[in-house]
Formats: sequence, structure tokens, C-alpha cells
Amino acid sequence: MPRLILFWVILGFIAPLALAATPAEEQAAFQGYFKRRFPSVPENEFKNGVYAIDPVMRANWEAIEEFPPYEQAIARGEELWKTPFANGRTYADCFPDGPAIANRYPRWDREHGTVVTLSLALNDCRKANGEEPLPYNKGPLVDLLAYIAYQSRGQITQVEIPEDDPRALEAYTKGKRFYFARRGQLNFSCAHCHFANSGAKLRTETLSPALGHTTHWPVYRSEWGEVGTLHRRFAGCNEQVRAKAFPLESEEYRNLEYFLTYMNNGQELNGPGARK
Amino acid sequence: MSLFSDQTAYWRRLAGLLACLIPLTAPLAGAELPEAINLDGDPESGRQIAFDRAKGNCVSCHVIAGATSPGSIGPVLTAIQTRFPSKHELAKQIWDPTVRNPDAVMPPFGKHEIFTPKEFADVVSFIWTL
Amino acid sequence: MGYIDWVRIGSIILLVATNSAWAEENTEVEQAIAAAEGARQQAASVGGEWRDTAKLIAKAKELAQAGQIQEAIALANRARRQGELGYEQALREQNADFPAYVFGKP
Ligand code: HEC
Ligand code: HEC
Repeated sequence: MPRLILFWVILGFIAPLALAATPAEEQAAFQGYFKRRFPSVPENEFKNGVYAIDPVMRANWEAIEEFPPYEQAIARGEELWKTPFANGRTYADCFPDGPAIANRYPRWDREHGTVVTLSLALNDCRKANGEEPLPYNKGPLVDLLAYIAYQSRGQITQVEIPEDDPRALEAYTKGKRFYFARRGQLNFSCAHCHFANSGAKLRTETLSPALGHTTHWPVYRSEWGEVGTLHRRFAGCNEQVRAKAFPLESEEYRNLEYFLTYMNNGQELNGPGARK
Repeated sequence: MSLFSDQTAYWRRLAGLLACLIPLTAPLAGAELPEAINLDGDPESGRQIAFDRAKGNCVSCHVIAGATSPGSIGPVLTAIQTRFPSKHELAKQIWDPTVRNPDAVMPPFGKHEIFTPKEFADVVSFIWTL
Repeated sequence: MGYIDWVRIGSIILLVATNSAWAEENTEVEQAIAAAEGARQQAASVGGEWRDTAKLIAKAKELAQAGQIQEAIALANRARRQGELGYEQALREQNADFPAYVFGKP
């Protein structure tokens, strides 16, 4: 009997604490965690991913950035941005403040009740103008992203979770659950590699901290031999643990992007990036 | 004609009977390390599996004597027989590390059938020699 | 009955037996593959499908068509267990959240 009482007393203390965390509190804890973990890394360096914490790799990367491998993608993207659709209108008609609009995404779309990423918004614009949507994995859409990212350099991440629409919080929560759930045959969550083991070596690869993960997309990866998107990276990290990847721009990945980008609020955008 | 259907029915029943026995012999989804598992493996082939990137890839997280460019996520695998009272206890760690530590960042090589039973016995036998 | 009759009856029994054994094997592999596909879909329904499960099933179908029935069954059973494990994993992890250490003080 006394044990049972003790149980309820303890639960009474723990339950409110466990339920209390709001997205803003979780964001503060997240950022605080990485700053404590890497006390010598200045806050505005996390956007450089693994190169913020691994000096050897950094030297190599700085050499690569002298002749950025994503330059052609930016140029092609600019061309696309300026080329009118068949109806004579352009992307600028959909995005009057464009092309520097990267930090407005991902955003909660109240009307459709879903998270809208920049890729999705670009294809929505095409469809509204009678054009075919572009594939999400490579090609012209990624070029457009590269151009927009370049024009948006220096903007600050500022994702909002509108408090008057509970569905937005739900999308955030789904993204959070996705992030922390173990998955795949190897049974890892994202956090297993990018939180407690960030800075450690997985064989030869240094694991980057999750703070800074959303700042520099799209990315030219030598492994891809081309510029690719954040969702393509999500898919790669899923398959790495032998989980089936989700389709790019699926609801799962958009919610994940919403959560992860919100965690990175305050970080400066510096895309497109270059990575190994 | 009736002979055929009778025969078929007989075989069906026999197959049904055998099918009932299958769960007793095949590994069970979500199972713990079977008490009676055979751990008599070949340490040399276990070494190859432990070093192989596509297979065990223990080296991506553990320093193991003789392996190049190891990772730093798990502890150095050494003096194993002072760390584990028996081969069976060692096998439990490799079967499913989350039993001992729910937050373990090591794949459940046995439980998730990343290894075949033979590979599992080989790797346990190799690690036991460290 | 003469010697030849016994041989005839014997071969008929043998034929029938092997034929129905073959039929039985065939339904067994079909069932194994169907069970694997069911388990894969169940895992997928909760976002818990593993990377190689569908590939294992495709390979099992190939083997079955090539007449390698026992190998096909073994592979299908492996795929089924993957589906079951992936499903259980997803249910176990459905409320996953921040680890406590993130909130800890230095
Ligand atoms: C088994 C370990 C592992 C897991 C689990 C894992 N990743 Fe990764 N991830 C890596 C490695 C290795 C890299 C490349 C090196 C680096 O930047 O960390 C990487 C890179 C990334 C990057 C790019 C970093 C950059 O600077 O461009 C992102 C974003 C990312 N992972 C997100 C995720 C997400 C989201 C999940 C969960 C769905 C996840 N990862 C799960 C190992 C992992
Ligand atoms: C993703 C990283 C990772 C991989 C891959 C990995 N381990 Fe581990 N291992 C760990 C971690 C982390 C621990 C620490 C204990 C814990 O977290 O439960 C550990 C602990 C152990 C221990 C217990 C050591 C002790 O002294 O207590 C053994 C034995 C072990 N691992 C064997 C293996 C074998 C064998 C393989 C390959 C088949 C392997 N590990 C693959 C991360 C890994």
C-alpha cells in the first residue's frame, strides 16, 4: 500500500514535468544542449555542419569552397527563375518578394492543413500556371532551390508554429516523434547519431550535430556528384539504418523538416552548401 | 478419384501438423536470446564478419585489435572474459543490447536477424577471444 | 495379384504422393509469400517498413518460379519476420520524444 502511494506521488511530480515542454522550451533545450556539448564552437559556426567541429575536414572543405561545385546549379536556377511559363507569367508572380524567400519555409499552411516546403511551393506555382510539376530528387527544381538559397544567404531561420491552429502543433509533434523513433533493422533514431554521438566517429565519418542541419540546402555532395535536397539526405539517413525511405516531400518528411528547422531557429542561412 | 482427394487431405493435415512445429524451431520475432542457442562458432570467420562493412561492421563503432580506422561510438572491445561471466552473457549483449541498456546505440544483431544463426555464433566466438 | 500389378499400384501411389507433395509445397510457398507481403504491408501502415523487406519478397517469388521452393519459403519467412519486427518497433516507438539528457544541466 505505501508503495502504491509512493508511485502516485512520484507520478504526480513527473507527469506534469514531462507534459509541460512546449515547442519553444524544446527548442531552447535543443540549442542549449549543443552549445554545452561544443563549448568552443561559436553559435554562428554550426551552420557549417561537421566542418564546424572537425578541423582536419574543415581545411579540405575550405579548399573546395574556393571553387564552389554548386555554382552551375545557381546559374541554371537563375535562368529558370527568369524564364516565363507558357502563359507568360513567371515564378516572381507567385513569389513577389522572391527570389530571397528561403527563410519563409517550411511554413504551416492553414488553408490546406499541411506543412509547405519551398519545393512544394515551387511546384504549386507551376501547377497554378498550367505547368507540369518538377521531380523532387534532382534537376531543375534543385537548381531553382540553389538559386533561391544563394539569394537568401544571411537570412535567419524563423519557423513559426501558429498557436491558434492545433494542427500545426500536431505536425511539429509528428516530426518530433519521427526524429526520435528508432527505426530500421539497425534500430537507430536520428538522435542516436546526431545528438549524443555528434562529434564521434562512425568508422571514418565524423557525425555532425543536429544544430545546423537545416541551414545550407540544397547541398552539393561529392557522394552524389550533384546538388541534392534535405529530403534526399533524410532518405539516405533512413536507408543507412536499413529502414525504407519515404517519398521526398511526403507528409512524413515535411513534418520532419518542420520540426528540425524550428529547432534551428536563429541560425543563419548559408546555402547552397558543399559536403562530402 | 477419391484416392486423390484423400491423399491430398492427408498431406494437408501432415503439413498442417508440421507447420505448427515451425514456430518452435524458427527464430521468433521479438524473441529474447534462446537459452539453448548454439554458440560454438568459428572465431576466424567471426573476425571477418566483425570487420566487414556490410556485415557486422563492429569496427565502425568499436576499437578491435587488428582493425584499421575504427569508430569511437562504443567502448574498446578488449579483456572480454573479464567483462562477461560467460559466453552466453556476452551473446546477450550482441543479440539485443537494449535489454541491458534501453538507450543502447548498438544494433540488435540477433533479435533483428542481422546475422544468421551461424554468423551469430561465429561473431560471439570471435569476440570471446578478445 | 501378380508382381506387375503390385508394381503398378506402387507407382500409382508414388505418383500421387509426390504429385500432392508438390502441390502442397506449392501452396506452402504461396502462403509464405502471402504472409510476408501481409506483414510488410502491416509494417508500412505504421511507417515501420524496413529497407530490404520488399526485395526479399521479390527474390522469394523469383526462387519459387525457378522451382527452388524451400529456399523461397525460407526467404519469405525472413521477410515476414522483418515485417513483424518493423511493425512492433514502430508501435514501441510511436511516442518517442526528446531524451532526458537534453534537458539536463551541464
Ligand atoms: C547511423 C547514423 C545515422 C543516423 C541514424 C542518421 N544519420 Fe544523418 N548522417 C549520418 C552521417 C554519417 C552523415 C554525414 C556526416 C555528417 O554530416 O554527419 C549524416 C548527415 C546528415 C545530414 C546532413 C548534414 C549536413 O551538414 O549537411 C542531415 C540533415 C541528417 N544527417 C539528418 C538525419 C536525420 C533527420 C536522421 C533521422 C531520420 C538521421 N540523419 C539519421 C549518420 C546518421
Ligand atoms: C553503432 C555503433 C555500434 C556498433 C555497429 C556495434 N556496437 Fe557494440 N556497443 C556500442 C555501444 C555504444 C556500446 C556501449 C554499451 C551500450 O550502449 O549498451 C557497445 C557495447 C558492446 C559490448 C559490451 C562491451 C563491454 O565491455 O561492456 C560488446 C561486447 C559489443 N558492443 C560488441 C559488438 C559487436 C560484436 C558488434 C558487431 C557485430 C558491435 N558491438 C557493433 C556500439 C556499437
